[in-house]
Amino acid sequence: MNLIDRIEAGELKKERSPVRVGDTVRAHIRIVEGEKERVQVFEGVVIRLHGGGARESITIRKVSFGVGVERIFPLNSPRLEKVEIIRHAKVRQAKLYFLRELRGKAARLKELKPKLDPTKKKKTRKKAARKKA
Amino acid sequence: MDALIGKKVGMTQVFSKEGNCIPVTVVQVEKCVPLLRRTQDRDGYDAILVGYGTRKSKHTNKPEQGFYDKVKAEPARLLAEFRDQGVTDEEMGKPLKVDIFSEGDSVSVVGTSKGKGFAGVFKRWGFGGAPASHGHHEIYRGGGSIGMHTYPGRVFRGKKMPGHMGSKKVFVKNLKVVRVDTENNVLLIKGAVPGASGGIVRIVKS
Repeated sequence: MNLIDRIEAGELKKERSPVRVGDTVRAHIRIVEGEKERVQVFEGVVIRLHGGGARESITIRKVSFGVGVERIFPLNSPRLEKVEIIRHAKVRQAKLYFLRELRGKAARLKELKPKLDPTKKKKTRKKAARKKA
Repeated sequence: MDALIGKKVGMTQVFSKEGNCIPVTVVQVEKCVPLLRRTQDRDGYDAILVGYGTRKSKHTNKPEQGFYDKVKAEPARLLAEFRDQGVTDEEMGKPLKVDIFSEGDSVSVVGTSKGKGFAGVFKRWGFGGAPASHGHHEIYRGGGSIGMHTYPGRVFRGKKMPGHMGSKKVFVKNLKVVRVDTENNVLLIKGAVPGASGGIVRIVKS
């Protein structure tokens, strides 16, 4: 492990949010106003994953009152409380910049239904093999 | 002692307690040893001679080896001096630790900038160039006129012209120390530091 990786390892959160490009998410951001602290929610589509390790960030896009709004969140920022995934979508690009040109119904993404758990599948296969033997 | 020689490892980012993202340069101090004292009486000035890094003995010639034998040290990759440093006799010959700096300290960093080769006036001096249209052709990146006429009949000294750029000593003042890692002998310094990754930098408290 090189030195920079070692330094970045200390900056990582315990668990990386399983967020993917195309997900509709709710980002909970801690905001400090003077003395008070509150949590703000930013809901939209993840159009980009950027960087890796401690520098990883996501760009979330939403349309607010007809105006497109994009915010970038460093995934390991202590201000980002959690990223709640609402739904996955079928996407064929790594960066969804094409959404910026689309409005309304055209800007929808097809929902991706969760597949069968691959870990469970393996178990059943093993059991079947054991039965054969 | 409030100065060090280190190696620029690269850049990354860390988060502050408030959650702000801080860009940092990682500087590793591998082996930095005060070897010799320059004194007012003998040399005309006070300074500490420091050896940085290691060098194989087969790459050290006899006069150099003689010097290292005299100060009872292993051959170093390079030698440098720091003026007016308070170093006790006990500290001489022992590798310096990064804990001479602490978080929030202001430091100056000296490094050798990346070489840019033979650069034109756009890159080297930030000239604006000529218009792209309105009858202009073939001189878009040129520097324009370099002088007047029969009087003064010469080009002034220091005229900004194309030439070699970079690979020069660059001094950056007032960079903040973000973190001191004594375990790995590593400093995290806020912002950029001159030179390429792997380059040698001097760090002085300012």
